[in-house]
Amino acid sequence: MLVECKNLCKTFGETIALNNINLNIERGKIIGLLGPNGSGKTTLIKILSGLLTKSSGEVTISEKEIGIETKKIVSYLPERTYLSEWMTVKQAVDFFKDFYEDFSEEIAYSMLERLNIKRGDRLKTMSKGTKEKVQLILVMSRDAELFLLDEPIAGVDPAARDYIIKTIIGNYNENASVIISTHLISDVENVLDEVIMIKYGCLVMHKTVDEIREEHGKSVDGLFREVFAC
Amino acid sequence: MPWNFDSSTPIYLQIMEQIKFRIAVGDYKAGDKLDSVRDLASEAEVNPNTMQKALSELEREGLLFTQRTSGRFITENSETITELRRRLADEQLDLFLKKMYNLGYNNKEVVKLLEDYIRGEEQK
Amino acid sequence: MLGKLIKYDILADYKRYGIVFAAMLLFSFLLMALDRLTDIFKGNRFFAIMMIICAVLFIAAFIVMFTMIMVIATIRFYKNLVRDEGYLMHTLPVPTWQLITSKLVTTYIWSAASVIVAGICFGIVSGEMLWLFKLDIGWEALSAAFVEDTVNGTPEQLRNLFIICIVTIVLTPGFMVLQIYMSLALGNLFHTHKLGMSVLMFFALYIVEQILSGVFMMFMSADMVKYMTDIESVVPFDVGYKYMMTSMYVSTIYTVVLMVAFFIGAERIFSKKLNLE
Repeated sequence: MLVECKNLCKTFGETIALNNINLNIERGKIIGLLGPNGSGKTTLIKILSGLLTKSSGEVTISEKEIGIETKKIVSYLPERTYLSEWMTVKQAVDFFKDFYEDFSEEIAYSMLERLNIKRGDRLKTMSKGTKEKVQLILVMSRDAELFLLDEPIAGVDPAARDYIIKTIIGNYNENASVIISTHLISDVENVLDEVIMIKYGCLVMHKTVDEIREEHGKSVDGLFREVFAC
Repeated sequence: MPWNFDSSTPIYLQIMEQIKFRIAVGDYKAGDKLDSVRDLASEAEVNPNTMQKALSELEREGLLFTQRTSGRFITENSETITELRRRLADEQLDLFLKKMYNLGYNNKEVVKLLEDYIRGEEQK
Repeated sequence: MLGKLIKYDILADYKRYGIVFAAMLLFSFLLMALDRLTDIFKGNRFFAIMMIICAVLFIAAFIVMFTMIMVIATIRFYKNLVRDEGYLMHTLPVPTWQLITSKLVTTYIWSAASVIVAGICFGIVSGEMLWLFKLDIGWEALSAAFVEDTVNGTPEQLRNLFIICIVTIVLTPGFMVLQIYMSLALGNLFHTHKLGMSVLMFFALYIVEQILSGVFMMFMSADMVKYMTDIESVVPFDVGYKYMMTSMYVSTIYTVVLMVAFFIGAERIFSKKLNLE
């Protein structure tokens, strides 16, 4: 099992962000983490990435407690642009190569070249969209075991969306899983194996997409609208 | 031909249907090599596991076969393909007839209508 | 990994420092040229006034340069570990203490570089402007004091004083940035107004430090009080020396203790209570 959460809880003072999450994630899956804003999606991803510490319960990735060892095998794409403005593309690539053993410079450069992004380009002069693509390419150029993509397609144009989805599919391997958090379900529905829905910090559903379509006769998007109807 | 999916049935079933259609219309010819699962998945923008599942099912049905090292191919058995085309045609006829019945035509009228229509098309 | 972190911390700011250092050197040459012109046009009031203004600016530039080290160190830490870039830095397979140490070491590297540049600048200027050094410091008497007894104490006493002064100077930049890091770490704990809270925390820490050191001083200077209250009395050298050394030692230990506390505090907060926006 790649990811195991047992009675995982996270509280911020009085507010409960994650409430008793029990979750197992296998290798070789592309999983949608779905829920409205503020449901705890980002909190869960931040705990897995090591940016937040759990309040109680257990969580392991590849049988390891969250820490430096898991950071080596987790590739995380946050919602924000996190690359230093002063860097050139080459420096950003070197940075990833220096810190991640599983990073492939060749893959990164070939993907960057396909988008016509040059090594000498400065991050400072790039548009937000281009910066996000550079970031996605760096994150996806790792041979990690768990990819955590937090809202990768929110606020991007359709062409960028297609690019992101094709990159995720092209990157697929049986040893690794990808968790994509999003509220734009119809855009990613076809690439998902499984769906995790959370609401008010509680896990309300963990099923395969085929199960959902067979049992409910509707798309994940349709079911989501039903589950989270106001 | 682009891939199109609706939202109510499992995607692997829809992929199977669409590949069958491609074989029947000759987009994929007997003995043709299929692209890799990853390439097909990427082209259709679907999950590689889903594509894998669809192809395995088609293999089970005898429409595809795998050669251990060189990949997946369309069946070379022309009978199977003929049979497939026939089955798809039957499905369409079935749909067509049901709709015609709904419109209140009987079998004879349907045949007549169809003959007239085809004649009209030919003269165009 | 620490080496790699330091490499990128230096790469991030070397251009800024490069500009400042180049400006300082340029300024030194300018001042040297101006000094020659004053020599040529003796009695020209314009050059004389310009000379004085430039000399004042020269000194001010050094103050700005050393202040800038702290400002740049603060901005770098804040942007890199507390704001958006923190999403990358805190998910690197690197222990938190290395992230902080890298910033601390980088600050020391820039401080040392600034001292060297300052030395070169003074060298350039003093080559032509010996008047700056004509103040009678008595270098010979000073160096002699390290060898033989003088009225100002034994060579050993002087050496001790010298060493403790150097230690204090070396500790100062580290102490300052660690206090800033600790304040930013504390500010990060709040859900809103993180930066404002960091500033508030900085002053809170400062006040606590001052109160504590005030208390220390009161205890230590107890036997000095009798000299202070009696205007007529002269503090004997040995008493003054002892008092001076003790307070320097105590304040050095105090500084080191605070530095360790700030370091551990910031490390704990960032590894256990990280709260990025």
